[in-house]
Amino acid sequence: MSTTSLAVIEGHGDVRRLTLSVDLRAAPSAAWSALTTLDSLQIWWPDWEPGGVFDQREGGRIVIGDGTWLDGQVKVWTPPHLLEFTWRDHSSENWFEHKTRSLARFELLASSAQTTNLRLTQFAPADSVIGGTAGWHSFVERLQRLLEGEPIIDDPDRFDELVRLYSREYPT
Amino acid sequence: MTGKLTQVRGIGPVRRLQTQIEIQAPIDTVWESLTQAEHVAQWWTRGEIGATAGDAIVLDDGESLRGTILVMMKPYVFEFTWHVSLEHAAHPEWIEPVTRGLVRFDMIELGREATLLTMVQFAPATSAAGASAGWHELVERLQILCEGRDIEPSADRFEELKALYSE
Repeated sequence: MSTTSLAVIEGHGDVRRLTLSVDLRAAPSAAWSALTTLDSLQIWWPDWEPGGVFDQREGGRIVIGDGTWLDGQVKVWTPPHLLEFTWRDHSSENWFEHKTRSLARFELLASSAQTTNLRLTQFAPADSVIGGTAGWHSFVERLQRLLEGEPIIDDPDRFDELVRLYSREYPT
Repeated sequence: MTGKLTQVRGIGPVRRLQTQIEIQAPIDTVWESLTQAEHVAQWWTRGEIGATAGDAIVLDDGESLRGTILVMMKPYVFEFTWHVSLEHAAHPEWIEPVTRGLVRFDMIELGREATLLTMVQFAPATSAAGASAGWHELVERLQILCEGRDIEPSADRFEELKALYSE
């Protein structure tokens, strides 16, 4: 499988921006389909489960499971290039309630005849950005495997390993 | 001669432009300069800019831009389409139709008096050099304004930058 380079985390104060860039071995339309269809999401994004909502239009709702984990709004929907959504669009007591609403953006751009560059950008609170980045990194590795026809292995240690890597790279 | 502020990526008919500049000013100053029409008139052009997502943004009476604000998250993300209808766009050749010329500005604090501004737009390959030069010139002017310096008119700056991005 192709390797995923570490994401870049930038910022000062209580907000960070993380950027993860990876080349996927697929055309933009196939990568878009893997990013947005429920059947595919349930394979590579571990939290997606039956019962989620993905209203595929600007202003539509996006919900994982019962909404405890993610209950946001689609802000940008332009297949096969741009998808943007908030993590949580209404009030909440947990860390997702934040002035950036943990806005996540996925960009897809043909980078060669066989590959598409995925660039993921998210604004996140400084105190949770390491875990958030490690989570995205592990999800994107699974997406790469899916698009490369490789088996997706549930590795319970991978997230902790990535947290250690990012903590070393971006010490607080 | 400055280096390039705009990076161009992609193959085929679509390019991704990313123009990035570090501004020695607080993030709130940059946000106001970017989103309030009276400031935008100084570094870009005159126009009307709505206050929230869903509102219109119209520059030069629509001659340059007539779009819709999609994201307004103060002071981090300001995002808008370039046109509401390609059919009525003054310069359809500037616009990547699928993304509606969507422009995203995002800002992150690098310090109390330092802000990193990033502009991203997907553009047609045929207009990428001109658009790269245009964004370069605009963010330079925005930087000067935010840092409290005087913007000096330069009739040759765009052509100079267009030559740089056409190399």
